[in-house]
Amino acid sequence: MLAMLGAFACRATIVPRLSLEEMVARSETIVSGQVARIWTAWDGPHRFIWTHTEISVSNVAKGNRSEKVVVSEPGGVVDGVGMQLAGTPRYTPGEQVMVFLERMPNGYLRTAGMGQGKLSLSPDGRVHLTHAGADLAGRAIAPHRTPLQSLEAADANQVRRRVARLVSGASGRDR
Amino acid sequence: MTLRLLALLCAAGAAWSYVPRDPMGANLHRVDASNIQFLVNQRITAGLANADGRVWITGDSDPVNAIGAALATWSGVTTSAVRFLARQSTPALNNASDRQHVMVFSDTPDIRSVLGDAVAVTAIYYVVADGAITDTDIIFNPKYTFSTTFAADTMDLQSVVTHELGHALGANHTNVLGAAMFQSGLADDNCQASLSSDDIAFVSSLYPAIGGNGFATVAGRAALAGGQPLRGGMVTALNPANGVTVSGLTSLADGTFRFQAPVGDYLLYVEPLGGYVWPGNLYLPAGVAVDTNFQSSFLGGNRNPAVLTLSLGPEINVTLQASTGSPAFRTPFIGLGRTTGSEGATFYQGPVNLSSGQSADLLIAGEGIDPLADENLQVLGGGITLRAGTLHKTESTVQGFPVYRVTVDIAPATLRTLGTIVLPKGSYTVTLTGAIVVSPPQVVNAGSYLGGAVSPGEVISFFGARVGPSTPAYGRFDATGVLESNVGDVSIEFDGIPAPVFYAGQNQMNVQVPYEVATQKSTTMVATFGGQARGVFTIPVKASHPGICAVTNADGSLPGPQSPAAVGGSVVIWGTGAGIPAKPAKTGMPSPPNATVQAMVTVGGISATPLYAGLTPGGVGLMQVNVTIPAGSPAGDRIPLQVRIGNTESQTVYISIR
Repeated sequence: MLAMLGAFACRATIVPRLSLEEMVARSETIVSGQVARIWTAWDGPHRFIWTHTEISVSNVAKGNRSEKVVVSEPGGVVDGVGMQLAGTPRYTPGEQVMVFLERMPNGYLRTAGMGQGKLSLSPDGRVHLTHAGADLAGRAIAPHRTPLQSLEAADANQVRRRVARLVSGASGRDR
Repeated sequence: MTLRLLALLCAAGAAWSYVPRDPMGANLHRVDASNIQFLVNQRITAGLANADGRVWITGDSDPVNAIGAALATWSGVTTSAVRFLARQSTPALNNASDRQHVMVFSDTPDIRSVLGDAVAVTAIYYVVADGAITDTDIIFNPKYTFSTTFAADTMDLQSVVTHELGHALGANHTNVLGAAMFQSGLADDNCQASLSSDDIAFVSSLYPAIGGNGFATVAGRAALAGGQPLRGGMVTALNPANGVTVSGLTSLADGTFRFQAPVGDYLLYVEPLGGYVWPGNLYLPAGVAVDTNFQSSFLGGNRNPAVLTLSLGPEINVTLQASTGSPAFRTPFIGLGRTTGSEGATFYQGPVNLSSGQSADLLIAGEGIDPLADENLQVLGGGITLRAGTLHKTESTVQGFPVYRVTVDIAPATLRTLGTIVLPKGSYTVTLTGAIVVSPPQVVNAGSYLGGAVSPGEVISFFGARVGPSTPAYGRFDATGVLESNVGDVSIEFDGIPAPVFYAGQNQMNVQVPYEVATQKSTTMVATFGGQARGVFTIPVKASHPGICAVTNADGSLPGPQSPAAVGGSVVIWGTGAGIPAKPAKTGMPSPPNATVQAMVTVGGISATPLYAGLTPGGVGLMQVNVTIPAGSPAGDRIPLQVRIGNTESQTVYISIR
């Protein structure tokens, strides 16, 4: 009975926040480019609306070289019906972005880490985070990793070089 | 009801006292707010596995009751009209157009694709023309494990459901870190099972109770230097006296805001997105300007903030003037540790949880934090006081940044509240809104997890945030055969009498209430860890306070669908809280044989006299009731069973009978 009472114990364990290293590792495709067009559609079984974003690619850090990449995120509006999922990333035509994309079981490419994998690129050539963490997943600090937060306002070319080194298996840190 | 809601929504030109779900689009709202029927897919049961065969809901969980508790949490807001009907079971899955609101555990490629990394999502379908929500399905991620027992590395189901129900009501995420609607939560943590003042303000403002919510309204405009509108800033009203913290978003068009909050005296400030919460977390549309190049700015100025009294009547109009400038430091890491040293610290990028009545060390680190002096750190609300002279730089680092440590003392409290960290440094101020969650500790029966009273000899659980050692310790019998009362540097006394300790963990202790309290109408319990008080409670004493831990068949199997109890067969009910038996037992010592009590058992509504009711021979404070399943008991997999001792009934548990 002692063991049984002990088994009720609460413990504080934390699920890691995605670092740059983890983001690179789990992404099938990492590209920079401009949002060219956006459209929405129901999925086949008519259960979810998806918003599809075509990005004209200017730089490929990981994945197949292609002029266009389509990112799909759940949510959107079709024929006067809206569907929303809190925290999912949104794109807009003309926007300059660097995106880390994961392949989903349904074949779509989605932004990695519930939006953590979308970095906006400002005209001055710097990257800007759009999301922190993921819906309800706890976050922790992995001391040996590069927190995405440290990329805020970093030079986009430096970030691309760091990503390229990670893709090639080298250390991601600038020296 | 519908017309009243629509009228309110139309009147709300700017943001209400929560972050609107789509600030550039329709304000989502329910038209069935006073009678929302959620259906629970019948697959949601303890022991459910995902398609990979991995545990999805742990076998010792009670998912249905956890869902019920989450529904009751929102329904219990008295200043709101929202009421969820009792849950119903359904074979239905998520469906965008069936206008049913369903909670779903279904592992398909489509669902895994929609969920991505989210622990759960609420798919909200609405009419774009008016924002009316037509269908809300809550879907749980097969990649995570859920429990209702705080099992290691599991998500607390009740917390997740509470958060998702907020979305189903139309709530967005919030910048109040300790709110149920904050975008992230910890594994093994139930912080988000409770509603914060920010969550309550949301539901009370969007769906006020019949007759009104009794809240005051503050409105105005936030402006940058030069008078330009401050777009997408988080405006917060914070009552330092009681920790009430309510936030809203300034208009992305013109910087205006409109708030509702309980009456009281508040500090009002605006802070930028980009700390723990970014525009994307609030589902703000891409390509729309959000101003972030300003510092947290209080009404009246950061040196001497003005106190704004919110009262009923006409809305109060203010202008918040923000100071622009690049931040001197990034949002820091915050952590918690024991007051006795530098070991055991845990860091977070989200809220930290503390129990009222305790002391702990708050740790802060981050780019630009060093050096940190007393004048650079404040905590507002939560009854939290920074202990003078304790702020110091440690030798530890996080991400290469030195860690500062300060001891905080938290006043006893009976309600959950929030504390906000303010870091004024040089000409720049950062706020971490609602970053400290202060919870009232709880004392409950270790079997039923129900509180309100204790009985002599009962085994109770004391829950609090970091009230015990980070490495669990277990009680042992000493040389005289008595269970130890000081384990893992933890001790609990009832009216000065040491309580035998079964278990001492970071957030929970299990101890026996001494039999000596039997003569008292109430007892004062003092919990101590590391020589410091972690909670002081005055608790009514009842002659008995039965709680059931488990029910087994005579062969030890559980009377579930696989091994149901039989009519005419016997089951054993295990628990605690039997009270004083006919044959005395001693505190902390194994119970003697035949230490019986008068008890009655009800099975499926039919009373049965136990074969034996009393203390478990050889156990400490444990109760055992042997009973024959009476003739006429109904058959089924959810037959209620309850024990009554004296005037007190146990909680109801359910067994299978064939």
